[in-house]
Amino acid sequence: MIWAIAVPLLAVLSLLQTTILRHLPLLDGNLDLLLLAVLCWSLLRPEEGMIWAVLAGSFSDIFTGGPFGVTSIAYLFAAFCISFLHGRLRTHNPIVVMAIALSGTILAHLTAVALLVVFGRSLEIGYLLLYVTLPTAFLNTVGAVPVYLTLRLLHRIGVPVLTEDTE
Amino acid sequence: MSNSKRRLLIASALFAAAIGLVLLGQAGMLAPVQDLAQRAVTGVQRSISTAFFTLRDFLTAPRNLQELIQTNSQLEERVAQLEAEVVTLRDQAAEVDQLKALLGAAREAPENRYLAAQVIGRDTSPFLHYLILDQGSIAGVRRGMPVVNEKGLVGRITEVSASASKLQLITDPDSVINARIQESRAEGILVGRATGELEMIYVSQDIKVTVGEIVVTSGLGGGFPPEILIGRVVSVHRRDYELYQTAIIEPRSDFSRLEMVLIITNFEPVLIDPLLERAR
Repeated sequence: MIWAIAVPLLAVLSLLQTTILRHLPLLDGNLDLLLLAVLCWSLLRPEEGMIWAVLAGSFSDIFTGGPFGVTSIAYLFAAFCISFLHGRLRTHNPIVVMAIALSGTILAHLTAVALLVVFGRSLEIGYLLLYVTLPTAFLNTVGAVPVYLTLRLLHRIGVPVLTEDTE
Repeated sequence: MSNSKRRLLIASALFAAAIGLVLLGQAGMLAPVQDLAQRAVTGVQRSISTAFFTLRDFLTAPRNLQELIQTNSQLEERVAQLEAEVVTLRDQAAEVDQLKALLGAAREAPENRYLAAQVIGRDTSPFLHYLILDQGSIAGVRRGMPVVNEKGLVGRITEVSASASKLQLITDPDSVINARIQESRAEGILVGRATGELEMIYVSQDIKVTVGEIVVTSGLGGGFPPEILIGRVVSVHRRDYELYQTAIIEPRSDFSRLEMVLIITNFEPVLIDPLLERAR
């Protein structure tokens, strides 16, 4: 079931990310729908969320000039950290969803920046964190609840039996 | 097995898989897969981009609101039809204007052969400055080819698949270009900055650089043809105790609104990396 939802959804989101969302910046940041999908699915099904992270990162890396796999690791690290909160928080609370989007975005960006530096990319880290990470985190926080609700609906349709257990 | 142990196991396996992807990518073994994926989505990407650019032009185009208010209600339907036609025509006219401007730029350097390419995507990573173009190896695009538009240098091709290619903008933090300040003839190296500006480093202290001077490619290093316009000096940082001065350059092109570019297809970049390795 996970593949039936994940592959087409993440492929479409990566196309939207490269063709539309990257043209709509707030400072130098953008709404990152791929990352939001990964974070929200991690709240619903943490183990699958990590698989989504690798898939989403791979789709994203097709459209990047950076080293392949960096986005996968960055998303995976964020999904992995969030998976530990599963069952400890009331994930249907919008504040929790927004807090997860905020912290998950910051975690993923810090990981991506660290990996790019390891790969020898010369980055102005202060500028990037201020003008890319913070606006992206803000946009992702704002967009988190609609994405979460959409995915929860998909989750209920796709996995009706487990829905009650996971919340 | 407890939930957290199982989760840790899955995470470890996935991290290993992701690191494997990185290593395979670095070894160039994922190139065929990336090529196939890029080829599969180029058409869709082009369609979405074109639709998005059309919508953006429609929404941001100046309109005479007074005229719209005075429109007779009986004619509204007709007006809507005409407006739709106007949008399409305006979009086509804008494209023609762009192509005309590009053609003008191409005529200025007739020794170059150009291939027009449409921007169909931007880098999904917000930390890097790359664009995806709709022309690839089938059209003769090769790695290292310089890319320009009517305003000057845009960047260079860094990856090529059959039907698409990745263009590294001159503002990418990893972009390095040998450049010359046209009036003072000062030479230096232009590096991209995350802010979207360019920094010209290693400029000799002996030469007086003034704000407003034009910066062009020097052709040194063999990475770009000489005398391609890049931008102008907006500030100069000169300290007596330093070996070199630096200048901040504002590029002529607005890279956030690029839709069409020209790839210089008859320029063979000189790859000096093997020479450097041999020297080591």
